[in-house]
Amino acid sequence: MKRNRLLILAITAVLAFSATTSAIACTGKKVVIGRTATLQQELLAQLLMVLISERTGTTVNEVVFDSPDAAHAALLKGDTDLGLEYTGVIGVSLLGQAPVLDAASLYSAVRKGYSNDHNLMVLQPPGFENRALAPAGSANQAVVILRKETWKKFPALDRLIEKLSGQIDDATMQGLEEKAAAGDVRKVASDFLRAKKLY
Amino acid sequence: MATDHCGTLKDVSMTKLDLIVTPFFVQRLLALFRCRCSLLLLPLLAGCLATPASVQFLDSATISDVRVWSGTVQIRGVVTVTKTGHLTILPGTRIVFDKIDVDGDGIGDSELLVEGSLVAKGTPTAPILFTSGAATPAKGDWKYLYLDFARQAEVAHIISEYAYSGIQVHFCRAEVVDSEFRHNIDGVRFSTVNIEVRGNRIHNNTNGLRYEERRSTATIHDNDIVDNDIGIFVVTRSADQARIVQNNIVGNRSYNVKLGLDQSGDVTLPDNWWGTTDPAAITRTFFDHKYDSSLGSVFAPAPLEQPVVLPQAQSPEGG
Repeated sequence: MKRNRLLILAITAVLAFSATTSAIACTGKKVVIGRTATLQQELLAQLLMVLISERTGTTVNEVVFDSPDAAHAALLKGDTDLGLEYTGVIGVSLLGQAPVLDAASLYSAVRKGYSNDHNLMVLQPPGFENRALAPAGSANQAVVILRKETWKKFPALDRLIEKLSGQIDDATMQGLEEKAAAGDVRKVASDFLRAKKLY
Repeated sequence: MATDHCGTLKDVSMTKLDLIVTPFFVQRLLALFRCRCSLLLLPLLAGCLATPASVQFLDSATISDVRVWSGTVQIRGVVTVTKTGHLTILPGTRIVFDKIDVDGDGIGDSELLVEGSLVAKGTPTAPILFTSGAATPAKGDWKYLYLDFARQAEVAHIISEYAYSGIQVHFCRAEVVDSEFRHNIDGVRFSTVNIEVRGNRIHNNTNGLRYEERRSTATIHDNDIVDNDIGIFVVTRSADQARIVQNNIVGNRSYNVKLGLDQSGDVTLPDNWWGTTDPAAITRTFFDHKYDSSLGSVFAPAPLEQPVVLPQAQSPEGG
């Protein structure tokens, strides 16, 4: 009996060791960001790509979708790990909630709704709004959406991404977009993160 | 399958040709040497072991016996040296990896995976080259030279370039010496190993040396770790047991040493050349607790007052 237990323990240890091996064997784990083709989303995606790859060594790829709906569908399906969305759009269009003007209340509502309905995490907002896309009567803060399944594999990802929380207000984003429109988006993102001492 | 007096030229697949030298064949040659026939046999031996200038193509092949590579070997996909396999790569051999990206992640998918035995020992004047087959080569064109649970791993005087990782070593004992790792995303990368990294030139990579200690026994000494974006990237799980001494760690563009997001413990790198002995100037080249209070600190006690001198190395095709 005791011998059998030891055997089972040994087999379990070997299997666990093998699992560990495959987990780190290794172009590193990969994270995929889904975004639309707007400059604002491209810039935010680059900020995330640089931040994640530089701080964790993880390979990060992006996929560009034709529409916010397509990007959202890919996130729900698990084709992407991270999405870039806006609280007003989530609340009104995706969750069917009444418009909310107070940014903090809206954030709380969509965070709860996404968690309950879609198993998604809505991370603390960077700090800027997209008013052009905002549903009537809604604040519309940009937020990064993280699949809970991805978070289980990368438990530090929310903590890392939330280092951007409150770092990019409307004026800052406008300035970054102007620089990005005139040059290298990745460099603009890198320079910003470096200036914030985030990598 | 065709045979000749030297061994067997085996058709492994439609596009695979490889030279097999059996242990029996080698023993016969050595026996003949002992019969004072060495002068007669030298040209024969050279002819057998040094493959003609033709290119050997390997397409996702598996090696489970004894092989010797020479000349040019072109790899497409994953070539695996299994537990029973023993691969010897002769000086001057060129291993060229086709640039393919099956999963579309931007990283090439050709690689050499060693789970058995690898002896890749070039010479200063005839190093072994691992490189990209792309017309305009770039970092990440191929995946890596990957030693995973390898039974034997001896690597000396190789040049590895344009890979995701110039070499990656996990769960085995390995020696990586007197080699050059350049233009890779990670030059030299390891975790959970017993490894000696000595006398190498690790330059112009994104990360020169990248490791997760995970109870490794690692000795990194007498290397140039220069002109990378990051000199040394300590990703996580380092208990400050890796011995990193007597290296030149200078000129790395972003940081000489960077700690990863979850590296909360301190890392100590004594007796290295940092380009200066000024502690403040040295510390400025570290990304550590100063930037993020959740990280450990990097310490560089007893900095050297002058660079470590490495032997001159040949560097074919520029560098």
